[in-house]
Amino acid sequence: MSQNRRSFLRTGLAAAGFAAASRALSPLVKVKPAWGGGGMATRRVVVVGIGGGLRLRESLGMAEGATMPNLFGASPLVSGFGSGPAGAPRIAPEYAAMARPLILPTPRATPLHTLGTLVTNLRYADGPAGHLQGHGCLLSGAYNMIENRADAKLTTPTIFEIHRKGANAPATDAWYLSNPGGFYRALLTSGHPLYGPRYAPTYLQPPGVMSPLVPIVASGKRTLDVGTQALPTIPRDAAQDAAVARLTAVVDANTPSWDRDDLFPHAAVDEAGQVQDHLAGFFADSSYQSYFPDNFGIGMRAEDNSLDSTPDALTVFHAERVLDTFQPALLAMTLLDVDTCHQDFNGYLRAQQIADAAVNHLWNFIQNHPSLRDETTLIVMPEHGRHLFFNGQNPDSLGRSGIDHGQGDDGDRNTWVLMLGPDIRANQVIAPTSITQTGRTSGRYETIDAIMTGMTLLGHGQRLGDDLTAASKRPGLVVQEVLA
Amino acid sequence: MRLLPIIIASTALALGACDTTYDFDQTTVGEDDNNTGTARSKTSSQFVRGLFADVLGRSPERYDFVVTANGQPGFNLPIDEETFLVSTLDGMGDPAPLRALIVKGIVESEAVQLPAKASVADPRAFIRDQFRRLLGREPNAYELSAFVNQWTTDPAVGPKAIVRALAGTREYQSK
Repeated sequence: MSQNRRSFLRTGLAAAGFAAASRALSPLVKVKPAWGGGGMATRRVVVVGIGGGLRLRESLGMAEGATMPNLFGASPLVSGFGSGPAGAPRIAPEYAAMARPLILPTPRATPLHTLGTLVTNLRYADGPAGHLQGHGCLLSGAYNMIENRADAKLTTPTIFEIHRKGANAPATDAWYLSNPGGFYRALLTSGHPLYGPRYAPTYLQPPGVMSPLVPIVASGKRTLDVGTQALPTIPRDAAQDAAVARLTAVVDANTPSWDRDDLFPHAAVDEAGQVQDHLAGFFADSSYQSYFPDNFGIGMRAEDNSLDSTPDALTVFHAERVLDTFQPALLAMTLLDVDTCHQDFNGYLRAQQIADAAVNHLWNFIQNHPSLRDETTLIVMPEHGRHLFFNGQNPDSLGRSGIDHGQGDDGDRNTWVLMLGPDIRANQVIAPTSITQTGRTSGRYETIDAIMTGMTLLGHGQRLGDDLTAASKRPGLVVQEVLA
Repeated sequence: MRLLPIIIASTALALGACDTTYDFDQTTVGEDDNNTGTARSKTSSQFVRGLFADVLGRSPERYDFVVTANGQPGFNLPIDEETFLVSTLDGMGDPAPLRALIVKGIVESEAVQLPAKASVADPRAFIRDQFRRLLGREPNAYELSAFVNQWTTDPAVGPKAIVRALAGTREYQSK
């Protein structure tokens, strides 16, 4: 078997998030300018939500070594954890002997936080420290009690809805990419009567969609000799695609439109066509490298020394592809690999390394893209933290075990945000403690403030504030200190 | 197949007949009384099972995908077609783009025996047959004319394009 082909197939299949595979294989945009004006350069905002719960102790405190050196360097950035170099991540020896090695680029010489502003004492001040509630907060700027169901709805509009409605933006101008599937699709749109599915973003779950199993299954092939046969693809045919669109339109012209409360959001035909064309490029690739190329350089080492993705790495890679193709004004993504910490503390540390390297890759990608680099603000933050105590699951030889989240202790609620971009002050690490607002008891900046700041840069701050106030929710504040 | 509401507007007919007119409530045929006349999507599972039945003539199956290398054993990968395709489609918000690509992949597969365009002696009959097979109805005169015209004038329009187009319609994608 060709090493490359074997690698393509195994990597792609393993990346599919398909349980069987895992077991078997071990603008054309009519957009009103939305940006804040007043000299702001930001035209796009990218929100990276590190979902699953990431504690201050391990990230900024580096209490188990420097797990996020690209973002934060090698010495603790919060007090209580020493001041010197934290050293390499402390992976238990028995775990290191078993785990597949990570593939990580050499960390950048100057950590990203020196290029922007880091708020080290952010507070996730209200609402359960749960996945959907935490990410619901990042995607709406409001603390919430959304239920963990795919058909649950936030009561206040999502940032996607606000952007699409406020800027008259197409679905391709607002994207949500998520490592997990399932009930995360509940976060696309709200139950707010003035918004809803017609303002939904384009949602893509790369680990579920971006898989070579799609062309394999569609091909109907049940055998494949990778030494002699071409790998199955879904061929592209632009002329046929155009003809199909014309013919479909003939029939659709005589068909009732979609119900506004339909099971799925429906993009306009031309927008869906653009998304289809974007996806088609991956499924037509006979090398299978397009799904997750070796040169991304972040993931796990396979037995043949090639690169295997992790769900977070795959998600960031495809976020870059979306940014390249569509250059949307708003893209949010949910990472989740760190949530393995419930049962796997060492895996939690390694997932931080992956997230760190992937965010750095994303920032470098943005900075090397001529249409993005001078106009894009990047906001990186955990959705919440984790408990201050171990849960006893899978103890390792260093006396550590899994850690849960959700009870709302300080481990759950003390977090951080890193902001980078053309309007963000550089080389600033802050921890204000005298922030005042009716209803704010922390005296600190909060998770909702980071979202309000990003939406303000996009020109939607007033609308977000008004909508939240009308819904009797406390709106976030603009973090004035971060603005250059 | 969806039956559109039939609206009986008696006044137009009555104008030339007599001076007595009647107003009737809107009447629907073949739908629940509370149906709003809008389309509602098939679930991903309904779509996959329907597509397999209509295009492949079978239900989704489970099998082992057998990978070899130059004739030497490689590995077997268990595939559950419905479970996989449904979970993949659920990874999209609007599944239409991915549904379209899955249809294309299936139409291009060896398992689908669509004739070459040149071998279709009667395009009109072929198109009508595909409407019946996929939408469960005859094309109306406008649809048939438009499809035949495209078949005649556009080299890209052939059997595969016809099947893809009909499977991509809101009519096919809805319950």
